[in-house]
Amino acid sequence: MTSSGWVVVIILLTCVTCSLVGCFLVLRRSAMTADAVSHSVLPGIVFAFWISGGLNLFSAFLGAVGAGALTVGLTKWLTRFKLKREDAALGIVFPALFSVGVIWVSVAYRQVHLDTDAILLGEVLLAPFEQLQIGTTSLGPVSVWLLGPLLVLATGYLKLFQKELILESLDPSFAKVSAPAASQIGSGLTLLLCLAVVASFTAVGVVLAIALLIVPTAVGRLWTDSLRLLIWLSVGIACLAGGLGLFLAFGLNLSVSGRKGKSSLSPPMYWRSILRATGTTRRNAG
Amino acid sequence: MLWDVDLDLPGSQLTAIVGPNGAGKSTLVRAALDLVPRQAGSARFWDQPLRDVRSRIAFVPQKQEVDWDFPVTVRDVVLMGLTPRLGLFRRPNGEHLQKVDEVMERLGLQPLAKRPISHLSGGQQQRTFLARAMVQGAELLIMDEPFAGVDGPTEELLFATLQSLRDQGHSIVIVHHDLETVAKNFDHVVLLKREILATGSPSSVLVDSNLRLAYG
Repeated sequence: MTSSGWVVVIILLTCVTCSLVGCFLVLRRSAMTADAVSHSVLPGIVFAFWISGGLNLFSAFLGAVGAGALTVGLTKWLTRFKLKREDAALGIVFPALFSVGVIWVSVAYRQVHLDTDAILLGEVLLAPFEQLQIGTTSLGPVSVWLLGPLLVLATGYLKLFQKELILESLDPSFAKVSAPAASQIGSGLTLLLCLAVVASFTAVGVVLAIALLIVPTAVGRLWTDSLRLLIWLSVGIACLAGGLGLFLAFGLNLSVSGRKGKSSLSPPMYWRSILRATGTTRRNAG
Repeated sequence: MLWDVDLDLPGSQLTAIVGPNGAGKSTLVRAALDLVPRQAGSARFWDQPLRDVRSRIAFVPQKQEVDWDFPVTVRDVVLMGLTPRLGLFRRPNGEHLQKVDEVMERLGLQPLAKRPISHLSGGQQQRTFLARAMVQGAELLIMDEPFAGVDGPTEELLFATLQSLRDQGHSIVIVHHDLETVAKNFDHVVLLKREILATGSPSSVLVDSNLRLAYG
């Protein structure tokens, strides 16, 4: 496959995975967790860098997932005390972890080049070139090998435990008394979120990953009261936004300088902002 | 905050927990169900700890604790009552679904079956949640303020349903705020204000001296 073909695959995989996980996340009113996790993965990545001694996608992935799990664990622990609300506890945990990451990077790895564009918007055009290799055979981009299995995992988890996830979001006290397993399943969703944020990190960057997690469902919710339809709508909106963004980016590439290809990937964001704005207007009008 | 609660509730009765705002009525039932931490003491159901008898208890929390914007229908919510019995992987069979239909019929919910819960009135919300609790088939039903924001006819329907459940041998405990309906509808009353002030039959508990202590 050509590298632009792989770019399309990576973008669509990211869109579907993020919007699926995001759908249940938004309905659970845990959208802020996405923001928190995307920040607090930084110390995990630095830790992985420190242990493995180099920048390597798989170790960074493991480090980031560890940091995500740590965020969620610490937050859960804090909600047992005076800070009953999850978002308040998150507000304490993730800035702390993020600042640990920032301090660590700036003190120990001053010489490592950190590109803000790459973190905020990703480098999807470069993603196809980091190939998974066994011996001399190349098996395709590493991103695809991360995102593909994750999508299968996420779909399976959400389909299998849909009932419990709904129950726990709708009525947490009922879940705690009558179906304690449902509360555990809710925590599993947060782990999926960590995986999704980290896996889409390379493809679309932090900001777009958060947008892909939250906006499709927030927009879709304005159009339907049916959960099944909402799931399909979220995935559709995410793919539409991703596809249109790519289409615009490739189109602009022809007229604009090829060297700037990376930054032209921001149109998905504008497109989503427009969607969001019209969505908000609808709500105000209604 | 509650102190020195030593309470034994009778089975197969309709029990009301009453008291002024802030008396700790909800806290009492939530502490018994491990939903809020206890500083000390224990709660036992049929002489067993909660974790051994979960399937025999149905809890309906206060209305504000439920996310009424969640995109599910009335029937979806009633079906959730099956989840504790079915566990993680089993799907409801014909018998289960028949029970769901019966309960919904009895509470007049069939016409609302496909309605999103965000479009329900207060009375319809409570009927939906009572239906979910009945589908659970639990012997002990604990409800926190089920009559808040409920219209007159619904209140009568709820009481009639609860009384017939009691007659079938179920035990029902209700956190209640309306003293006027207690004497007529309940068998047993617990009067609470940070500690237990009185407990017993409505006529023995709801006397002037007790009420002055509670509502002063």
